[in-house]
Amino acid sequence: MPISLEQARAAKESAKALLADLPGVVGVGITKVGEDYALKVNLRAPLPAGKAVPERIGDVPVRVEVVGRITKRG
Amino acid sequence: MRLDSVRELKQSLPAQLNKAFAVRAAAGRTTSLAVASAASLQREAPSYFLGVSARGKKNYRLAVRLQDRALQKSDLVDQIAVRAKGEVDVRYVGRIRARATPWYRSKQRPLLIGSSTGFLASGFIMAGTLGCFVRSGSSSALYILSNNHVLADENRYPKGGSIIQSGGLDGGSPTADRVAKLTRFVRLDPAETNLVDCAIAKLNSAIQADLRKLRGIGTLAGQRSDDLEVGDVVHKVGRTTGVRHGRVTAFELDGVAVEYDIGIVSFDDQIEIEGSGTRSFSDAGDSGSLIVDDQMRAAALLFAGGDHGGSNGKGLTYANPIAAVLKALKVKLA
Repeated sequence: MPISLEQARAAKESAKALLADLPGVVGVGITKVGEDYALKVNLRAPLPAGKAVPERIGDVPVRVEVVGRITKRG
Repeated sequence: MRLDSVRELKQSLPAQLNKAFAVRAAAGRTTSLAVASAASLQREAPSYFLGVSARGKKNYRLAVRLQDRALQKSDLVDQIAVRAKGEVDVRYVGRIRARATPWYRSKQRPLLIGSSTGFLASGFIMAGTLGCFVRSGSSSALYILSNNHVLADENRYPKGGSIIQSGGLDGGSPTADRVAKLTRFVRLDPAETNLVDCAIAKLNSAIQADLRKLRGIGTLAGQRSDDLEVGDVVHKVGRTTGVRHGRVTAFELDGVAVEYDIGIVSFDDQIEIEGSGTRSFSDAGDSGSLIVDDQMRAAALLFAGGDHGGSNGKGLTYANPIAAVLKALKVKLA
């Protein structure tokens, strides 16, 4: 059974609490990995040594991407 | 040739040549100097410029660039070649014009979706993008929809303040190009969770608008009813990058931390998009662009982005779902 949107949404809420202490998290959302809904964690810069985002939260896979600074596009 | 020899030749040649060729150019002239004849005389006059080019490290030549094909086998070029002892590099380059300004950075009447617009800034000039047109309540009055930071200067622009098209950065006049007045905006709050960056400005009654045309993409076909999904293809036209195509990479993105003049503003429930092919989906100045889905339905309002990430490495763009924008402003698509 692929991971459902509901499972990913639930995981997102626990992820937000879990990631609150990590520096430079600039977004936590929902994406897809193959057929599975998954979490996407956006970072401003790579995490310092010793800090990491878990690869899964429950059964839900987590994709991490360094997206840099996000600025208004005006 | 040595570099200083080429430079000396380049300096002295025009005066000598002008003497020899100006007489001939003037000789064909018969009547008085009306505007038209002055223009045609200009076309007949030798049109070239000189520079320095190099073949290898120390072998310099006189570069002769012709803007008129007729000069290619002319006495003028022969004379130049003689004086440069044959050490010339002659090329026809044609007329050189300043690169044309694209339509989305120019004045558009009727107003067009995707064109440059913005508030009147004091001390600097700016431009964002006109997203689309909306109506409020049962009134037939038309409003421009864009971002708070494009129409309301991040909460700082007064209600009733003038909006110009094109924006000041694109030469919009603070007087002649006023098209609308700021009506309302949703406050950007660095201390709270935000959902949208949006504002509306009421069109001045004399200003016409093309309500549904997204030039280069198609005709707006209403509002998308369901949420965007990962993989959905989207399009936009905006003031800086014009028409771009993209793909949704994430949705329901919370805690999107965006840098503004007023500080970092955090947004929940955002859409993330990457550009198609080798390009980004947006760049600075595209803020306020309406994002449509593959069936030309309004889906989101572009407001932020970065230069890293995405599968082509060209950065990611962030957008508010259009339903949240219209709800927050209590408006409907026109």
